Amino acid sequence: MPKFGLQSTIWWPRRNESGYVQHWVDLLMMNNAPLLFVITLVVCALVFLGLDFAVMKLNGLSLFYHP
Amino acid sequence: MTRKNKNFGSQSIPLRPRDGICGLYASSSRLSYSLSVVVLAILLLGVSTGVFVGAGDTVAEASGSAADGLAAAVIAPPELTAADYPTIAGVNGRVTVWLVAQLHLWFAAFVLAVPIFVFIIEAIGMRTRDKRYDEMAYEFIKISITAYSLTAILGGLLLFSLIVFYPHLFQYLSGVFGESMFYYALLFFAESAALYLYYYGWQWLQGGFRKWVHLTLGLLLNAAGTTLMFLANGWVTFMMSPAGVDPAGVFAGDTWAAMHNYLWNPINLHRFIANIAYGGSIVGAYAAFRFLSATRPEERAHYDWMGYNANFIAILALLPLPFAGYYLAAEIYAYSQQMGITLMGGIFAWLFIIQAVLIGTLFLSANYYLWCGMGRSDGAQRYNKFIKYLAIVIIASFLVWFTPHTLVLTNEELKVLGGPYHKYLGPLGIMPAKNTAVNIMILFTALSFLFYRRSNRIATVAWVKAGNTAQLALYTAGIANLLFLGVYHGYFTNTVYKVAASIPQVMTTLIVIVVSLGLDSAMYRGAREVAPLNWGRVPNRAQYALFLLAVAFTWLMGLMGYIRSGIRQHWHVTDVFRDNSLDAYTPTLGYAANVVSVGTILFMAMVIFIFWLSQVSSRKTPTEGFGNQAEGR
Amino acid sequence: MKNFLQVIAFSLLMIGFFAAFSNFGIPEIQPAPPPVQEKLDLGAMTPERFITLGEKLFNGKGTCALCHNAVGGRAPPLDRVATLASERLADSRYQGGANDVQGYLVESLVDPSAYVVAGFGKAGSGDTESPMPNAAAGSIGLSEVEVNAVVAYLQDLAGTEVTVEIPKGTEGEATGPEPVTGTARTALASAEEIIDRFGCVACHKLAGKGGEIGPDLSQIGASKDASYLRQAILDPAAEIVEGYPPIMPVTYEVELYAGELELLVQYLAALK
Repeated sequence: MPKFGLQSTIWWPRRNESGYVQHWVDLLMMNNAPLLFVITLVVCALVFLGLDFAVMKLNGLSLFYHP
Repeated sequence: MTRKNKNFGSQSIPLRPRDGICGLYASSSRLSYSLSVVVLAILLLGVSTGVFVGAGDTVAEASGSAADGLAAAVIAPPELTAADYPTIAGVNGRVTVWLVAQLHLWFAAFVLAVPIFVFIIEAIGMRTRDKRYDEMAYEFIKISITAYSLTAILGGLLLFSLIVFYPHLFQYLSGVFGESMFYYALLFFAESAALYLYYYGWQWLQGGFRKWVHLTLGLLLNAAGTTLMFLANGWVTFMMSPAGVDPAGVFAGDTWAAMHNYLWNPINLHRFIANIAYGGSIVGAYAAFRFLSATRPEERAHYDWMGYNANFIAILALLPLPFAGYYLAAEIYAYSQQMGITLMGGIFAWLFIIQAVLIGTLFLSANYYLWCGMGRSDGAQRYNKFIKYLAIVIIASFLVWFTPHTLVLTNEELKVLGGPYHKYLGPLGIMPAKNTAVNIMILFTALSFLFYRRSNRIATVAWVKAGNTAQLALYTAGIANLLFLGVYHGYFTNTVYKVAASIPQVMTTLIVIVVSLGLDSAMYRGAREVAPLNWGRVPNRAQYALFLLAVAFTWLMGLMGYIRSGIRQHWHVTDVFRDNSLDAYTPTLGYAANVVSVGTILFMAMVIFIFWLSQVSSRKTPTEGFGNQAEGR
Repeated sequence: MKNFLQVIAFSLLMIGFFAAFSNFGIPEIQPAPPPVQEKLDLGAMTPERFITLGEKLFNGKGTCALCHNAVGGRAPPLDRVATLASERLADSRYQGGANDVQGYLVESLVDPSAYVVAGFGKAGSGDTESPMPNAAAGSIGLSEVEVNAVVAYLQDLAGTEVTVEIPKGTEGEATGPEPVTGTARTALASAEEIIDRFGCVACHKLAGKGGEIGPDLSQIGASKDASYLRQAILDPAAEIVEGYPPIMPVTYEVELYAGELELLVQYLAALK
């Protein structure tokens, strides 16, 4: 168990007596990696688009070009 | 005699026999060596003071105020003719200054870089209590000691060459920067003191508080070295983008204003990062050489590990380097659009195609070393099937980067082609394509490293699948964003958008690398080793990849040094002090490449000499009958 | 030892590859030599010569063609700028003080930020700041006469009237990108020297002696005036005297300095 950062015990997997490891992320996605992929992809894409928009705005431009 | 380390590590460290370069200096020349550097520093002091005063005198005369001894010296650039440039029969002043300056810079980059990563490695050693890091740091600093003296010698030679071949220019520059030259010389005392204490006191300043003192010395060494570089950068960037002078070149008296010119900080940043990458590659070449000449398996293992670390340092600094370079070029454009266009759209444009070849070489050899290195562990066989795709993408990106835009054609060829651009490959020649390509090369290099990291381990956390999926999605989104920014903003908008879009591209790459590395280290926490990492089990050709890294880096630095200087064309100081020597013309790229090649060979020869010294000093020749200590006396 | 030699060989091979690529793999481009100060006599400058000077400056010393070229993207095209000038003067974004086309063109050379064409301003400045440098200062350093020459060229390019005053008789300086093959030819000081240097007597008779390929010039001043003579030297093809072959060299326009041309013309006009 890490001694720093998130003390919350829900983040790190807990090993119960029989050694079986449970994790809430697994409970959600264990059987559906493609879904996780799509969700993460969409989230990352939105984050990146937000980054693009913010940087262009800081330069006094819009994200899309309007001639 | 042993010294117990109270806090750092549990083994005692014997004072080992003086092997390596250390022994060479321990014997007799330690004092004379330090003296020579001190003498050089005094010389610098004397020259800078003398010329400063001399500049004041002569210019005061020129301005007609000789009678009034209290008049302030007017420092203005003179109008020179070809006759004002002294000649020495058979010696081309320009090539001399060029070669000496470049040699000095190569060595200076090396001796500035090594303390940076040695400091960091020592700190890591203190944090992890792993003795190997401390020993490796010590070995790295050992290599740079001889290089330090060569740097000083070449610096002195550069100074003399400038004074001999370009006296008026030096007079003007020392008039502007005399004060800073004085501090520069004084700082050498500080740097030498810090370096020698840091190096010679390594075994003495061990344990507890002493180790912290030692680390602080390392910090002071880096501070002095970095300040020295920043001062020298000010002089060189003043020549490119002068400040603190009026349009006629008359100095207003504020040295800080002249130093703090437009291109100062971009060059500071670029050189700082590039030095680290360069230092790593030279140290890697040293390790590669020692690996190849190693006889015992422990030696092989040790130098293999050292080479890996050096390559890691080189790649770590190599990743952000293109961005620092782009920032520098953008600032050149912002300072003077003409200078910028000459740089990338005019006569120097083809030079960047040569640069592309070299950077492609760097990335390919660094990646190749990583891929070869994966063979150290049998567990890497799981990932072998992915490597070819990494190779294909990196090579494809390199080819895009290497594609020129405007082709130099004869009239008939122009008619046949219908213009100066290739119909399909032409669009790959402009910057958006190249920015995208380099970002992808960097991303995939980081991916190579991710594969390497896990080659001997298997993750034991429960969320492995989720973690891998997330990483894959992160990379996919990152690449998609890079392509969107590169293609849409690059080809469907105007110049202003095109340039601005490169910033989110950089940030995307850096974010993807940092997040995926973070995710990876979380995922592999407590990982199980699948097959041991056999240090030393790496093919010899991997060591040649390290040599290639060092050679290509050196050549590239020489080429970029030429660009930085050549961009001034027929100006000593842009727009202010005209170069009227016979050598003021801009040479062809082939000629410049030849000079750089000669310089690289000279530098490599000197470096090989340094590496050889490190082996020589550990050799002992048994003498029989020479000494007086015969048996029985 | 073997390792050492192998490493040396490998390094030399790689260095050789980079050098070979730089010498043979990329096209050999000869950079232009540094510009040289060239004295141009501005006496008797014709409008055509002035426009030609402007064009030479546009492509040479003025470095205009570096950005204002057919490639586009870096700077607005200038082929019709003289006709567009009046529109721009009326534009609300115009910040300068010119009232006419000539004034606008001169101002755009010395104070480019007075009006920035949409889309060509510095990034983030909203087209209020121009990346173009002041052409009359710094490393370009066009003199007033040269600025006017460029303006004349631009006006001519757009097909509008050239309103710039052509300089007469005042000495000025103009530098061109002529290579340093030697010093520029010093202007000849007398008509006899010019006739000698350019070999006029090879085809024409002067003082009764010379060739018969071209018309006899011994008393040409009696029948022809200075302006005819000037044109005959600069543009021989404009009017060929009947009975003579049209073979007079057309290069005197560029070979003769303006002052020399004037000396020659005055000399011939005096031959009565």
